[in-house]
Amino acid sequence: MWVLAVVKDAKTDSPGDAPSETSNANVDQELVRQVADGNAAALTALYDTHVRTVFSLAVRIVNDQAEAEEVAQDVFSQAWRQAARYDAARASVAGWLLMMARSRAIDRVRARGARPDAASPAHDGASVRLPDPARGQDVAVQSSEEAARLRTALADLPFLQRVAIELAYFDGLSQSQIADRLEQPLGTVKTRIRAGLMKLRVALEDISS
Amino acid sequence: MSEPTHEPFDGLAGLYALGDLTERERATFEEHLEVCRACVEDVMSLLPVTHRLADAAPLREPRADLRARVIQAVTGSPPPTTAFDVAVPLAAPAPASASAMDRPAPPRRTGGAAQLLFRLAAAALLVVAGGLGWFAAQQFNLARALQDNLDGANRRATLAELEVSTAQQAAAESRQRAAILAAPDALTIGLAGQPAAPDAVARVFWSATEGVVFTAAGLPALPAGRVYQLWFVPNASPVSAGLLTIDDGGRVAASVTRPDDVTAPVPMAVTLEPEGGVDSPTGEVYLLGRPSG
Repeated sequence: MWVLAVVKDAKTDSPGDAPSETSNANVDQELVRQVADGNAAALTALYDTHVRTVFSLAVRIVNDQAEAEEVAQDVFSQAWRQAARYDAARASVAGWLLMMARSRAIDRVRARGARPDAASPAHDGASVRLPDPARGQDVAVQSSEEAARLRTALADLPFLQRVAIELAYFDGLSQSQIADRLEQPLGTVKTRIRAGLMKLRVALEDISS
Repeated sequence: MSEPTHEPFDGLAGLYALGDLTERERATFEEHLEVCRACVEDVMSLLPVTHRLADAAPLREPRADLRARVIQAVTGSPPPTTAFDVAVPLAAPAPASASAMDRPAPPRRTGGAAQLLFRLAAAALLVVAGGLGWFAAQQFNLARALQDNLDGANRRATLAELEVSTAQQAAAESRQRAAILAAPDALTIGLAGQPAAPDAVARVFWSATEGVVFTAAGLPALPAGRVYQLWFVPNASPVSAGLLTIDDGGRVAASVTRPDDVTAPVPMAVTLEPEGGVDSPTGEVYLLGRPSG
């Protein structure tokens, strides 16, 4: 049964959706290779493809439009300098860029010495939510479907599990900071986070299978 | 801090997978990962989830002028006005790993071969945990951390014996194995430890196009004069798939040559045999598994 399922997946994948995903990954990798050669046009193409997800993650973490723009610049600057070190066997290009974005963004939040004020004005109006009409339609649709699944799964978690995960991932709070904030014992926080992630995993697997 | 008890590390796998431990906490936990397979498996199973958390950020469109600013600041010149065409060989097989594999191997420390082996074993676990071909950036960090730890722990025991030629051969084989792991048609066969080796676990990655890879961990150290031998078990008469060389951690990762008449995945087994191997299995079965779960 398991084998059948896999074979069926392979069959439905190969003529239809998978090639575009594959070629996107190919294009990404080729872009990074050319960025490593110092090709500014390739960096521009890389920017055009990925800036939205990088910027979105940065806004979510630093909660400030201007600072999120600086994070985006940091990320593409780092990509420009370190493209030669990128290894496709280890991470997708998107994953590589997002990892840099999270790390840079959290560094900035930590440098401020406090969590960003939840009422900061970054979330209203300064940035605009709209689909990019020009490029990457397929990619955008696909990633937003995946994103919707993730958000649904996250929203379905027990409240404290979800909040603990968000505080850890997006706010970069340490375990003891999370414990303080939620007024929970440290052990409970660790357990909640792990349990929440496990539930997310099951939810994502259920949907995708 | 690196006491063998698991208790102080309970639940840390989640925070680790979230990238949320401090430098010191992380270092301590990675020391623990070196000795605790439950935690490694925990981390491996959670990484695919944490990798996707970026999706939870509401989509934001950056201002249009950011583009010119970033490109100017980073490259020193404004964005080019002409469209950029990327020539990509769309027909290329195993695209996910192709470009990295084509690149010359980076210079390695003495532990190169063992690191490659271990990285592959980690990658195999990751594939199991996260779906074929999925490698998150965080996983890369983990695999590297684990291999660095392995390097430290086993440096003298294993690595000093490795000749340069062995390392090069291992690197070439490892590239081939990576291609198999990334092959779109790869199937997995899980092998379970038998009573002789209850802690052992193994996976076979079977690609009709790229070949077959066998990875295992937790195999007991070999008694003198004995070897582990891997078997295809298509029916009543097993066919040898070769002898296995394990490292100090009981790990092995090897490419396997598939007999011509075995076209579809078949059960696989590992037995303990006299040095040099045998034509048909005589010793105790250590690992056993079938294609369909």
